Amino acid sequence: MSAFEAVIGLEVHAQLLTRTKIFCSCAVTVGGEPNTRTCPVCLGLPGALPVLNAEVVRLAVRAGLGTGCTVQSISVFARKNYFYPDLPKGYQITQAELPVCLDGQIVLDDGKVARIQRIHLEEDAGKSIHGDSGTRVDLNRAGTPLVEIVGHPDLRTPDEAVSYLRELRGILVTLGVCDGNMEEGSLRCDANVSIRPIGQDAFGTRVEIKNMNSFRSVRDAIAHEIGRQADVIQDGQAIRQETRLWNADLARTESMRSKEEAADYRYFPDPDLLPLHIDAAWLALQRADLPELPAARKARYQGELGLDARAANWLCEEPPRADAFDRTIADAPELASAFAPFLMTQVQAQLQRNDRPWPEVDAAMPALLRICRKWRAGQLANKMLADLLQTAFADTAQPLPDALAHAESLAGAVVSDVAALEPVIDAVLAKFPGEVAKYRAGQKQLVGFFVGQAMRQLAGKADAQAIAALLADKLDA
Amino acid sequence: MAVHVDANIVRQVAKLAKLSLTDAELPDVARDLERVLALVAVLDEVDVAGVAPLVHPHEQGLQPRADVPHVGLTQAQALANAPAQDGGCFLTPRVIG
Repeated sequence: MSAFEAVIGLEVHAQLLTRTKIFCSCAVTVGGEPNTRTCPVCLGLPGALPVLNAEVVRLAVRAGLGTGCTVQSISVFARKNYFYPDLPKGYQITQAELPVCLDGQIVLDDGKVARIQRIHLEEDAGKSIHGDSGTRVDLNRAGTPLVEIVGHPDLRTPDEAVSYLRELRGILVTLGVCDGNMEEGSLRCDANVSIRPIGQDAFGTRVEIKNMNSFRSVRDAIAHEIGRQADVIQDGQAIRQETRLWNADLARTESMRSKEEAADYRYFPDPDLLPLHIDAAWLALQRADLPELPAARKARYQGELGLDARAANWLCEEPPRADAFDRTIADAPELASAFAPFLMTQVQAQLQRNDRPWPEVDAAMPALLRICRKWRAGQLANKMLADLLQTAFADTAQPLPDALAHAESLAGAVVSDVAALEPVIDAVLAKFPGEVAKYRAGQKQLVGFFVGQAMRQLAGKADAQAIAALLADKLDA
Repeated sequence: MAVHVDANIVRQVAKLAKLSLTDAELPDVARDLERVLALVAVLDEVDVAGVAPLVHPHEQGLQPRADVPHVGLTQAQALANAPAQDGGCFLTPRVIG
């Protein structure tokens, strides 16, 4: 396998956060009874004409500006023709030769630039439910506005693909373009994957993978597909150009259709829709209206607040989390570099252990900052902090901020005064004369051992720095 | 420039358009399509060097509407013309894949 490199490009569909569908005024909402949000336009009834939703244009332009694309002054809607029961008109309205945005880029975690080829607008199809007695079709989703963001094949590893998708998702969520929910399908990702011998410029035969609904499945599906293609080639066979579906349960890709069966979509400009003009003055207003994007935010976290790259990336993966972080540390920026890793490790571990969702933490950040501040100031020992968090996160009877305040009141005060610590330290030193001798002979790292012994005697509720200072006084005297 | 349309092309186009043609009909349709293409091929004689493609004969662009929901059809109205329905859904013959 090491003799090959992978070539990966992603096609991402993002559902736009509008109130109504792209070409009619039916509401866009999830759930509810089937076929209760339709009209003659999205049912494809004869004579019904599409009228474009202005908000769709605004959001697509934001997506383009946020990814460094050139927004096109004229773009054109086209018909993509195919027959399927959940596509009532017999064609999907999309954009073909003249999409709304061209030539953008995404900067990956490691600084690598992956290019975006285009962003185009299109309508979603309805939902098909396949059963033994027939296929049931619900057209509530038909006409839901999407942008498709087509990336160049610039990615080389599954991790790069995930990094690209995370960064793109962060941008779309920050801009309010899409809610970014992959499980519910409002952000969907297809991957084109091929492999080639290292050093070869020409691309291998590509395979399209669909049906990946989490970052993990994107990584696993691409990694699996790279391995499968390497096996095929090493067996002396050729890769078939085809579409494969990721089966997460079986952890493998499965053939869906081959190129010979691929449809000829016969795109042509939709005569029902005039060209979309985007005015330069309006575009300038949209550009001025952009919030701080994840890349700038990460740079600020690292440059101004002293966070490490990992914590900065982690915060920015979920824009609401970064928003809550910014609000919380606004008055205490000196604590930011301690608070971010505190959230990323201790707090996140408690959430996972207690199966609680992250948004609860966003609401509890002021209380968590208060606790982090006490911990950093030595008013809470490590063990006390761990117990406090455990108690609070296991308490589902009250909101998290209240549970944290309650656990804080139970935690008690750390022992730090000399009068209380000294007898304990004296006892520890008396108990381990051999270690004391070794320490004095130069094994200074034994200070950790003595601190640990003293801490154990004090049930973890002591100020480790005060203990270390007292130990130094006694041992180095 | 004359374009030759053979039976295979007609079959493929018919398949994409969901039209069923008998083998006996293919030659006539092929000849009709050739005539249509020949008519349009007249445009090949026009020199369009330096002329920007025309995306639409009208100069004005789309007039988008506000993103305000309106009540559409009821489920019963939506399904009124459906040949078959089940549980509030359109019911079609079983589709594979």
